[in-house]
Amino acid sequence: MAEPPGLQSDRLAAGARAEPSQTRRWARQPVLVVAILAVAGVFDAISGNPVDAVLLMAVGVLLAVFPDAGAATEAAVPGPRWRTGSIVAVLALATAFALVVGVFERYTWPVTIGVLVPGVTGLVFAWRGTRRRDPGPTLRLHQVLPWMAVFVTIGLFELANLLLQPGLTIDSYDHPTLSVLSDTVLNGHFGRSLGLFLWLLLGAYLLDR
Amino acid sequence: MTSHDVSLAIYGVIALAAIGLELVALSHPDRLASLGRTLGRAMRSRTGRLGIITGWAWLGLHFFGL
Repeated sequence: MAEPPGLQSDRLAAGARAEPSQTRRWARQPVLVVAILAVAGVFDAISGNPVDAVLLMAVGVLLAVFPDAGAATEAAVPGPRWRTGSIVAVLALATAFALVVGVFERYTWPVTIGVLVPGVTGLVFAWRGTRRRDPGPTLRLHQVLPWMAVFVTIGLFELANLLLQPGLTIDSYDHPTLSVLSDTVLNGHFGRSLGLFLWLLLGAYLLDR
Repeated sequence: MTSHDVSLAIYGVIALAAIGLELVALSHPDRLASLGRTLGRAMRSRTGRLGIITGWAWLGLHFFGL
């Protein structure tokens, strides 16, 4: 008998109840995500980060124009997703990327293009959807609420520090944002390459979820 | 204690809270979802995937790009 398509946890959830969970319904709501992207894009634009702003706004517009149809569930991949060959390939790619792009100074076009290429590639993969791990049983709101609180807190504290700066484009020692704090590490060649390496690995990890 | 020190302390508290949450989630998965599981669930929808990957791309641009 053929195995029905989709992740095992989805089939179990569908069997348990027909209605999608509250958290899942929230995750499908483009309005909230579009609003976050729009607000972040506006702040980035007035903070002198035009490329960031364009990226955020463009994705926001895409989500607004082409809302999530949902229901597309890909087949679960049996066994471990990451085989040794895949891990070695990703590590080699991330190392090469970090060594090449890390040569260039921060806040220049070569680094910007170097970051945009994997960034946009990741967005294309995210748009199309990939075969992913089974994330397990459906989550209840109370199981993810603390994480939402952490990310909202860090976002609000960043925003507060940004607004307490002498100007939106003038850094403050007294009220440092995370990017100001990272200057001492990322301004050097080694720190910059290490940061780019970790950033690319994070992207690979996220796309695998 | 300067404003700079207070800011660093607050960042530290937030980081410790995140580490604590992850430890609780790993020991009591029925009470709290781990960050990986939360992200995995969020990325089941295209909206969630695009939102999270946009956040990742933005991080790269924010810390390294123009």
